This record gives sequence, structure tokens and C-alpha cells, in this order.
Amino acid sequence: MFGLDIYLPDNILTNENLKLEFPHWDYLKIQDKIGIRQRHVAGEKETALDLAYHASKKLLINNDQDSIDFIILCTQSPDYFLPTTACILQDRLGLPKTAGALDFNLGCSGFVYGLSLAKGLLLAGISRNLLFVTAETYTKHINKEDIANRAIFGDGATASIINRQDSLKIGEFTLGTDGSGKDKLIIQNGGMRNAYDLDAKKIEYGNGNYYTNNNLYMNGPEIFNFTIENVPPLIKKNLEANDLSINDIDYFIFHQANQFMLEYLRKKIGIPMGKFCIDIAETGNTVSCTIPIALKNALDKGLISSGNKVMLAGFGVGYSWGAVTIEI
Amino acid sequence: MTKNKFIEKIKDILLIEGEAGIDYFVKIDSLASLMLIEFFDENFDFKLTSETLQQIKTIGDFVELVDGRLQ
Repeated sequence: MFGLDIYLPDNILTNENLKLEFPHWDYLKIQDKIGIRQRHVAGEKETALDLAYHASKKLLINNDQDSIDFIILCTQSPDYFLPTTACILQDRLGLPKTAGALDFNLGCSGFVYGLSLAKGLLLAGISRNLLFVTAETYTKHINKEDIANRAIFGDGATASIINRQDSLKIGEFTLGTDGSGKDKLIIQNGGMRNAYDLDAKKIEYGNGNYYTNNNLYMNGPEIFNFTIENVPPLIKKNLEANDLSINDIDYFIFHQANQFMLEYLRKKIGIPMGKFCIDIAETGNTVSCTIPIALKNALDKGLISSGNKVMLAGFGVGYSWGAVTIEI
Repeated sequence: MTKNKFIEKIKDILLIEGEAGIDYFVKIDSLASLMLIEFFDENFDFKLTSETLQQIKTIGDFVELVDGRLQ
């Protein structure tokens, strides 16, 4: 299995902390159903680049950093519009100037897509030893009065080093996109279409959650409907692409959106409980980082080991989705 | 599913205690939305959209969505 490490910011926001801000919030019900007890939150001056740096540094201690010849970095909370976070990371880590570097903008499907890019670069001989980073600070996008999203999302970063030999253990991919879902998870303002609006009006949604168009907006029911419709066929198609059945897979790691959604997907697809990862309690939904965080924790806990087949599936903002089966 | 069992299930999801008929006004939070979507998908293969959820005012509105399929 390729090298993998994670970094989480020091600040922790517990459900008890949130309850102090929102006295009427029934956190025990949320904890029970959504499965999140706490989330790590980047400091005011701490960015995705900082988290990416720390995750990469941890991994590079035991690797020859001069052999890194490509950096790909997935984030939707970059430090700047330009240059890319990957370019700045190359400099801060002191990686070779002969390395290629690029960012790509995806959310919850980002880890699977990153593996597909890595595999392509390695098998094409463009790279021999690649650093793949996911780094997110979604909490900076969320309005302070949006308890629903503040309870779900957390920040974090992961780093993977993948070489050509590792890429041979990355199986077939199944990918999908439906941009008609763009409005369901979106930050409307701050790009070129709609400028950041200092006077943006507060909008209520759900039952007492507030955001402005400068913030992240998520239509939870529609995102849930999207996953119900698209994830079961995604898993079926990826099993077929890899010529495998559910019984051949040792462990399933889906994007850790929330426990309620994951449990329903597990039942609907027919995956035994013991083969299905739910690892969201301590970190929340860290977007493109949930799959590698869960993968690292599963390896550390001995839930998966060398030779095991693990299916990874990511799905969310875009809409975008993807699955791949890897061998540990 | 019987109509009574259906209403009990809706009350259960929305944490409505005691007597509540089809005219009872409901309040749907984000977690209840997910639970309702699961309930309708699992039992009726019915896609409950956010648009539909926004239009629902009473327990009776839920009944109307699947009325022909309740005993």
C-alpha cells in the first residue's frame, strides 16, 4: 500500500461547545443519528496550505523527498485564486524544482479522482514518485449561524506518496458527473460570476439555520436523494469493472458524509456491517480528506492489512462521484 | 402499510407526542428531512424532494403523497 499520513488542526470543536452557542440545539439526537462528536477546525490564520504542509512533512520524514517528481493537490479552499496551492507547497517543502505540480478542484469525490490522476501519470511514465495531497478548510466557508453545517464539517489534510509499483495495485475506476446539481452544494459569491458581497443578506433555511451567498450552502435533502440514486449503481458498476462481487471486497470505505446516510447506503447496497467503514465521530465530514483519513485509521487499527481488497467511493459537490478498488 | 401505522411513523420521525391527526401542523428540521427521505424511499420507493418537503404543512400532506398505497 502506498504511503499515507494525515494532519488535523489542533483546535477541536465539540458538540458541547456548539451547544453553548446554540442552547436549543438537540446535540444528543444529532450525535446519535449523524454520528459526529467533534470536528477539528483550522485556526483563523491557518489555511489549507498549512495543513497540507504538515501532512506532507509527516510523510516525507520517512521518504526521500528529492525523489518526488509530481505534486497533485485537491482543495476547494485554496489560499489564493492563483497561484495554485501545489506550487507553493513545492517551495515550502523544498521539493525538487523539476517536479510538476497542479491543483484540482473537487470535494467529496476528490480522493478517488486524485488516485485516477496519479495512476494515469505513473503508468504513462510522466511521474515515478508522486505526492498526492488533499487539504480542506470548509469551516471557513460556513456561516457562524449555520448550525446544521457547522455540526457536520471539519478541517484536515492528508498526504500520499504513490510510485509506479503502488499504482499497479490501484484497480479500475468508475467515475461520474452531473453538473445539473451545481446549486445543491455551492458557494455563490466570491468567484468571477458573482463578486463577494459585503452586504449579502442573511437567508434562513431548514429550521433556524442562516447563511449568506458568500457562505457554503448545502441542500441536505437533495444531496441525500442524489446519493440514494447514484451510489448503489456506482458500487455495482465498480464491482463489475473489477470483475468482483461484494463478497470479494474485504472492506468498503465510502466518503464519510454522515452516519445516517452511510448506514442507509450500506443497507440498500447489501454490505455486511463488519465490512463497512464508519469513521466520522472524531473528525466530522472533512470533504476530500474523509476517505484517506478513514483508510489510515483502518490500517492503524488493523481492520485491513496487506493483500486485502478495499473499495473506495466518493460522492458529493458537483455533482461528482467515483469509485475504485485498491489492493492493500 | 396501514394509514394509522404510516401516521405513527411520521409522528415518530418528527418527534410528535400524544394525539395528532391529519390536520396537525408539522415542523421539519434538517435531520428529520433525511429520516423522511429514507422512510419514503425504503417503504414506497418514493423520491421525497426538498421542494415537496417545503410544501408540506400537515401530517395529512404526507398521507396524500402515498394515499393510494396505504391500507
